[in-house]
Amino acid sequence: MQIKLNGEVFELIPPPMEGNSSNIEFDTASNPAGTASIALLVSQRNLNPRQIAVEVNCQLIPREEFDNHTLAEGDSVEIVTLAGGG
Amino acid sequence: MSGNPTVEKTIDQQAENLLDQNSESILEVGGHRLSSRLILGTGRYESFEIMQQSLAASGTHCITVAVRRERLYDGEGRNILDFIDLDKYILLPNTAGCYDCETAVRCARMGREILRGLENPGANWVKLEVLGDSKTLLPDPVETLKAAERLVAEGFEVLCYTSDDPILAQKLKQVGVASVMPAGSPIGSGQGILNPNNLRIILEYLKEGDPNYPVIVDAGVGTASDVATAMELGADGVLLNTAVAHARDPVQMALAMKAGIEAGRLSFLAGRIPKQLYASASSPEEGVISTRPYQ
Repeated sequence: MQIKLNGEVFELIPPPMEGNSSNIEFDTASNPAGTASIALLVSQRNLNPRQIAVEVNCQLIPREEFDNHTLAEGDSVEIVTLAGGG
Repeated sequence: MSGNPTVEKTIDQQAENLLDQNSESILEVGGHRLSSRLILGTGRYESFEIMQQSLAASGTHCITVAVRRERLYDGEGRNILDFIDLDKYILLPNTAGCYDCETAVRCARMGREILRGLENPGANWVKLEVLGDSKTLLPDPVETLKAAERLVAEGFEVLCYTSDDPILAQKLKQVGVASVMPAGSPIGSGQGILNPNNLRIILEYLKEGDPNYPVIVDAGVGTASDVATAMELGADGVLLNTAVAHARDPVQMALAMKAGIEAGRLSFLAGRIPKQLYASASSPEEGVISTRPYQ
């Protein structure tokens, strides 16, 4: 499915309908076939959930909800972290 | 000195006690007790190592950080958090790069969420910056005031970057910001305190009946004497970044800033002599051997 991720078009590949992807681990309970949660996106990007914040369509999604929040076609997602600044 | 070791030791001890009691180096702001009145930024350093050493040399207890998009397409690049001791420093997330109220509010929420994840005590506060212009980096006063009100209502302790306009400073205090932070001069410009008169007025207005209300000079500091100047005017603290990060020797400048903030605060508390037009001799008038009388 196509989403916007940090301002750019991004193709998010939900877990396959059956069988396991060879290199992505996912929990079928939190990622029913064909859907993609924030947790899946975060783990696909090898990000530490405790060091980031995630917005979907300008709404902050607390990390406790990463597993349950399902992304939809066209969603605009921001993943931010800390950087140096004054 | 008397030459008597016991007396000398007593004098040294007295000086140390005086420093502890009267330097009042504790800055209470936004629900935190900071052990240094200097707040340092973490941006623009040549390397994370130099940043780490500079922060340590400065003696700061609180450091600002920015909130930025995770670099998703570059797996290289180290993480700034690997160079920040989260047990030593309280992080103060800023909303730098935001030009309107809504974006600044979103940014503040994101900063809070990250600090919550990191379990750093700074999760309750934010350095609010809403810019009006990318060339001058001057704050947008209207959007700043709107954002301040929104964030205070959402439970943030807001430390608010603003101009040196005393009227706006008053309005920001009235909407409940935890600290008003007037700029000495444009961010990163190194021009120091361009308008000490306005800063004096801000201090007078905001501390009337509320002497402990924190006013922190933020932006434009260039060197250690700027820090001392701000503190001698009566500011409660100084926030700086570029002055250290871009100094020829950042670690040495951080040491200088540490000395500057302490010198300025002590000097303020000690009470300076007034400026006067003419001289007033510091050696006695009587008993001079010179034949020329004082006139």
